[in-house]
Amino acid sequence: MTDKKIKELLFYCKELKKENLVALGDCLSIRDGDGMYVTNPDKEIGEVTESDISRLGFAQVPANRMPALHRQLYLARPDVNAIITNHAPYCVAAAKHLNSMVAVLDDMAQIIGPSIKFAPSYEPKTIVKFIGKSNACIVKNGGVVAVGRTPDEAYTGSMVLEKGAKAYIEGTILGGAVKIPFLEALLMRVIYKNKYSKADQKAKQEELEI
Amino acid sequence: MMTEKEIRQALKDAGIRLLEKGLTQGTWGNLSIRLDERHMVVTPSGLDYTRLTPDDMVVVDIETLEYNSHVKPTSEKKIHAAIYRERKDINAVIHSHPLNSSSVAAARKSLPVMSEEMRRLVGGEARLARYGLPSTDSLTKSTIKALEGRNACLQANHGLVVCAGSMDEAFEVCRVMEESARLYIESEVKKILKKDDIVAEDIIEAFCNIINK
Repeated sequence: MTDKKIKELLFYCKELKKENLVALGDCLSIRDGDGMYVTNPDKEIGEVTESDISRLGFAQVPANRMPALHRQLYLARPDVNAIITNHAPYCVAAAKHLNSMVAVLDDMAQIIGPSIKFAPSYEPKTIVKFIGKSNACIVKNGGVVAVGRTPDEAYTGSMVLEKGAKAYIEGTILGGAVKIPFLEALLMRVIYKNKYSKADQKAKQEELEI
Repeated sequence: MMTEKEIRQALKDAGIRLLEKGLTQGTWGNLSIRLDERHMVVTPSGLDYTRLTPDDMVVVDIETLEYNSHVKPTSEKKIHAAIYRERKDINAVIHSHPLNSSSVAAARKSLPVMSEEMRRLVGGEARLARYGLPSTDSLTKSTIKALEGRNACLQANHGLVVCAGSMDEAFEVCRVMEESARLYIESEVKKILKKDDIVAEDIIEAFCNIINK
């Protein structure tokens, strides 16, 4: 199982790099019992190899590093089994120039919700508070924190948030991005989480025994 | 005429192609191929394309939407069926969410003709289907209306629907739509920045110009 989890992390490191959604300091992790497998944030995501992935028990995570944020999220959210902290270009632009961003695409409404919250810093307790029960948040003047039931769901969340930011920014350029009505966005989120994605995510969780 | 077995495999291959070409993410988007006058074969609901097998594809009655399978067909089957009912020349449908087309859809704009290739493959401007929740009759009706005389349309805040005589042709329509959407966005950035040539970073600069006005 260890092998599977490490391979899964390596796979998504490569996917994030391929999609140009990363910068130095980014970090991926997957829950493993009372700890997590986590990539070394000092290693560029595209260069991460098996030796750059460590298993850290929750009691032994250094307090001042990005893995501390991952630890705090796992402890606060038993439903979360994978976390990605990354820097995707349109999200970074949104983090720099906006204070809020609503869903202007159905897939963002489904995976993220009617809007994305902007946390003021990467401080772990702050992120836990701002991410709440959702799957992601943007960090003001920073990047993205995306969580999921599986690495696939965290990765898809990060991808969809980048797509939502791109659509928001480019839609504004085309004359104005139009937000999805709040109640309809909320309805789509509930249906996605409880119905649409359930079988797919359950199968992926079982494969990884998480 | 393709057999059901060939169609099932063709859909599996097309799903992978959709992901590889960056025309959708995760479990999003759905595909279908006409089986005969009364039936279509569609991709299932909510499953990752990399995990699908040909057996997961679902034969659906175009008139009644009935199916006989333990796997649920795509929740957008109504749109696929309506296209096959309305357009006898159509044998393949792709509903996807490519990045640039989605940006235009988020602005609730039609996509103007950006090239002769787009005019030839799409049939003219790609209209915008008005906003509706996924899987609803309302979205189906507005999509069919937007597709009149066209091989593609955008769906407000949602994505792209294309149709063609074959799956290969449908992919060509998808490609030209996505390229045209990119050209459309870039043309607006050039206007805002009053530049003839732009680089990727100029998109953010144009955005900042607008929000800081």
